[in-house]
Amino acid sequence: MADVRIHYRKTDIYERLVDEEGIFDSYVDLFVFAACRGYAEGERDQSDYKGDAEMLWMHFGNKDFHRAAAACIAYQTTNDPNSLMDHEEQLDILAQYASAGADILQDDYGEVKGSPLNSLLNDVKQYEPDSDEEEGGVSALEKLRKDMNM
Amino acid sequence: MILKSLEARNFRQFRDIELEFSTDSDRNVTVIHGQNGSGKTTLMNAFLWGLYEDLRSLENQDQLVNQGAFLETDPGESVQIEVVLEFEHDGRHHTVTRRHTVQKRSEDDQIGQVIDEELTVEYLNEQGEVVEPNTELRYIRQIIPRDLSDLFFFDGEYINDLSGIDNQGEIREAIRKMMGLTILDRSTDHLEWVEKQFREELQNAGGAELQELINKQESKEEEQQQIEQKLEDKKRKKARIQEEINDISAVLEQLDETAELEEKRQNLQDRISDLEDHKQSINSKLEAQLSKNGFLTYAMPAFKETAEDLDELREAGEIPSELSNEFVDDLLESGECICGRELVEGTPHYEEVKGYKSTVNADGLDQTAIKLISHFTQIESATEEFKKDTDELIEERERVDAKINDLRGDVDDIEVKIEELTDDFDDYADETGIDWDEQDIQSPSDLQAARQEKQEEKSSVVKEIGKLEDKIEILDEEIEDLQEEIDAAESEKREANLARKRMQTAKAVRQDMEETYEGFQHTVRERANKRVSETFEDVITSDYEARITDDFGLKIYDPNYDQALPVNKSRGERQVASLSFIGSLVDIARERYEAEEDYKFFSGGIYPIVMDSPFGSLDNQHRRDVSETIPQLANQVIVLATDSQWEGPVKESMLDRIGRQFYLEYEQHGGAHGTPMTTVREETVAAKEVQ
Repeated sequence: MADVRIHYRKTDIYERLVDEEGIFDSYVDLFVFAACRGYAEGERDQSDYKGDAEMLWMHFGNKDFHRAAAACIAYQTTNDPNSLMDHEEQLDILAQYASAGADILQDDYGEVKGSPLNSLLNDVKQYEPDSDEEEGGVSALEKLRKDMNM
Repeated sequence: MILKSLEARNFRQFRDIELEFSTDSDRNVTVIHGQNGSGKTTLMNAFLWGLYEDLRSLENQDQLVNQGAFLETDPGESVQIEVVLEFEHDGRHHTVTRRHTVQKRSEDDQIGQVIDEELTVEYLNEQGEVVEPNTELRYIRQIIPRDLSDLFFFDGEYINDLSGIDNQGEIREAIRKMMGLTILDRSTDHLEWVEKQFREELQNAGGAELQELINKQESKEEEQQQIEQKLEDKKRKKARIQEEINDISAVLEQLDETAELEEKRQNLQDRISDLEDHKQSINSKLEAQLSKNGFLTYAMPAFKETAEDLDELREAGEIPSELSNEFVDDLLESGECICGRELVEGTPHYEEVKGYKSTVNADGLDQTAIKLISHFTQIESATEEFKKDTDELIEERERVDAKINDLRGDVDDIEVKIEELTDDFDDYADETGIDWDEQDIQSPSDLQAARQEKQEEKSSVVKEIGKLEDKIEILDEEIEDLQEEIDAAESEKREANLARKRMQTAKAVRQDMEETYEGFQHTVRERANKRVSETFEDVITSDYEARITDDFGLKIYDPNYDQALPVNKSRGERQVASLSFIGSLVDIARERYEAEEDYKFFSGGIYPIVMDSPFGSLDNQHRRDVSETIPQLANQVIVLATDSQWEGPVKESMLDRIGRQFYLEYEQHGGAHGTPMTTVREETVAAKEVQ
């Protein structure tokens, strides 16, 4: 299978959080983190999200959770079950959320003096998704797992 | 002696002036002030010239005659320089007139030649008759000995000499003069001369053998004297080295304490550094957690909603509820069920799993959904773990931070202590005058080496002292033996015997006088010491104490260190001590004069203090202190001061004590033919403003 790749917008915050501060191990990790943050905030950038940087599906090869997040976010965005299987579409949608998420990260941590590690951790911990959805989600998960005999 | 008035004619820039001094006992200060160069020092010299024909600290001393008067004089003609001093002494009114007649030798002669000198002293006796003593000069010197003039007519320079760090010479000399001990000094010298005369007589009276013995004895005595001199030098050297050793020891003590604290501080710093490394490793772990699983929390709604949707899809039949054949095959091949059980072919469990295989062909959605669902559990637990692990790491980091803060507090405390010790040390080093650079001292070990060196030096001096003392003892015995031989040789000669007795008597008297002389010096030193320390204490607001040491040094002590301060560190205090010293001597002289007891050498007297610019090196506080004290020590004080010294604290402090006040008005071209001239203008004495 030809390698799936997309272009994404790699802003200054990538250099700051990966190269300068060393908080994220790789651009891939930060790309997924930014995308999830964008998704969590309901922010998606559909027009100017493509930049010069490339993201390859093979970078997700041994990261099951990254792949799961890509599939779920793509599906939740398109509401099309085919999105669960379309890696290119998943990457493309992730790039849209990552573009908006990177801007949020830039706004929140770009001007922080010193390491923004603590602020990042605090924000992750304080994040609470809508409670109704959560309950629904949990019961659905349990039910699904039982039904599938897993 | 109370000064009444001074007149000066053709004396330097004074053409014709007259000043009447305050004789009021309450307002006993007369102030004469003017700008720099207006003639204060010249005026001071008018006193000295009138009394002793002395001139002091004056440039071009040959050019005594007023330039204006001299220019108006034709060659061959002469000008009279005249100083008239009136004063009260022993209840009598005295007038001292000194007059020099100076002849101009040529048109451009500016100095002239003294062709006549005249000194007259007159006083009014009890009957109101004018009496002229026969020996004017001696009469004046009886009233105020010339030797003492330094003490009563002084300038800033003399104060500097007195306040010098090696001032023993000046202080001893001042005490000697003041107490009339110079008479004893001279008597001792004279007796030595008498002794020598008798010895010569004895030599002449004795034969050759006796002569030889006497020569031997003389040479031994001379040798002994030289050794005694050396011994004194060595003893002084030993004392000085001991003082240096004490200084170094005190500094080392401070350094030991500092080094101990430094080590503690270093240990704490090491611990802080370890904890900071630990904190860094916690942060690295937190970063790894955030990078790896931080996104899961944000993605969780997507996971859960997808799970819901997949469930709905399954219920709608869009995803088969059975496991796909491929998935079951994978499980069987891997030999492990998703519940963790081992799958071995032929076992019931293996067969049960195999039974799940469906005949329905699974499509891609089916497989993807199954993979996702299998990951959801892991994702959930990974998310929980992320929260738990990061919470624990953050708590641990907080504990480490608290510990670091505690340790930093401890380090701060130690640093404050070190700083205090360093400040103390710097103060101490300043006050003891130890010059580390000069002694090439870079570290405590250098200091220890320096102390060791001093101790060795001291040991060697002590040995030398022992040797010298042995030599003196041997010489004593030899001289005694020689004396016995001399006694035996001359016993038959009555003449020689008489000469010997006389010589011995002269020697005994001389020795007695020397002892008396030493004793007097120390008695007076003790009295002066008491006065100086009392006066100094009154004047100086700090804790410092002034003392006249056993070896006649006027020293200032810091009671906190019991260490004399070097002159450059406390010039103000030292100058105040010097002024206190003079004031004390004047006070002692007055006390002796008023006492009923008849003193042997010096009966004291009432003396004025005439001070020329004594405030130069003092700061405002010390000027104020001195100005308040000096008028209380002498019956009469005449202050010559520049305007800048006079205005401010000196004037404010003396205001209630001023009886008369004069201003010296100097004009560069105000005299005849545009020559410099100073006139005197009496000023109204200002009353102290009521606060």
